[in-house]
Amino acid sequence: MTSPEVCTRIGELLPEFLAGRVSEDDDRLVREHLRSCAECRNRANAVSLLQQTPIPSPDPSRWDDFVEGVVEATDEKRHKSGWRRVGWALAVAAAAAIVVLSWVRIAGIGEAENDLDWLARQVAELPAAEAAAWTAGWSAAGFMPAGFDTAGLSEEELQRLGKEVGRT
Amino acid sequence: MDENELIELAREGDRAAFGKLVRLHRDAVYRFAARWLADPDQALDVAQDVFVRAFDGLKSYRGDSRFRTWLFSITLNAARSVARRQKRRGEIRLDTGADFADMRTPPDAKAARADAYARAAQELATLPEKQRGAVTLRIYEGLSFKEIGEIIGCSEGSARVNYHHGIQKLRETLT
Repeated sequence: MTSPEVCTRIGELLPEFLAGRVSEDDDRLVREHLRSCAECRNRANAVSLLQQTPIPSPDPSRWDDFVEGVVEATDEKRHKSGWRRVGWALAVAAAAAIVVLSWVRIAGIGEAENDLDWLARQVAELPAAEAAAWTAGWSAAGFMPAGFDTAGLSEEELQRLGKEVGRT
Repeated sequence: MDENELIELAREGDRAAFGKLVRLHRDAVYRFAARWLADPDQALDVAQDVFVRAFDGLKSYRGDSRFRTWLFSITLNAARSVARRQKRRGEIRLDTGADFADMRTPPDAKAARADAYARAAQELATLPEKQRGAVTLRIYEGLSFKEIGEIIGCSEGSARVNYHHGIQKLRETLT
């Protein structure tokens, strides 16, 4: 019996039929069909030829060490990716630190207060004349933090401020 | 210990279990790569790469398909990449790279058989990728069309159609 449907079914069974892996019923079905269908016989010949075509043999020395080679390669890759992860973590941490510090700097959080504190600490140790000269220069350059007033400082405190800043 | 247990252990980093999985499937993976590339050295490189990638991807393997089917998908992608690189470099092999000599047959018959094998491998290699994949996985590995579809990236019906078209072209060129 030949019909496109039967030929399709036989075509699908051919690889397993030729490898001897079909049921008895399918074996009989294929044999009977091949007797009467030249087209399917040609297909069977083509599939049979392909199935007999050998694959190129691997290099025996590489083949023998294949499993060990794969396991080593996975270990090596895992080791490398571990270091890569550490590198990425450090890079991300550094980038985050830069962003936070930049933000603090731009927002000016604590800056005025810290500068004022710092200047106030220096003031107590500077000669008045030097301090006056320096603070005048800073004010002109816009360096002096807002709200810092040297008017209330004693001459001795101003001197100390100028001396300290002159050293730095 | 069955395959699923080995997969679970390998997922947890057990090297011995992973080694057993490699041993179980290396022949099939090599065979498929060698059929695709027709070069034993490249096929070995691809097979090694497949298992390294598989180990990396074990966490994403959900067990929806057979482990071997999943390995074949990785093999096909890796072999295609190698073949494409070769093509870009203009290194297309016209022979199959295989030594088909058979010591049991007389010289004339041997030569004729070697020619026939070489021609068969070459004709198979000239099929469009999906037809070639469907034919290779069906006639050499005996996979179902559903599995073939998963590997070559199409439906079961489309895998079936690709197989029949491939076989039809081979019938025309080889007989």
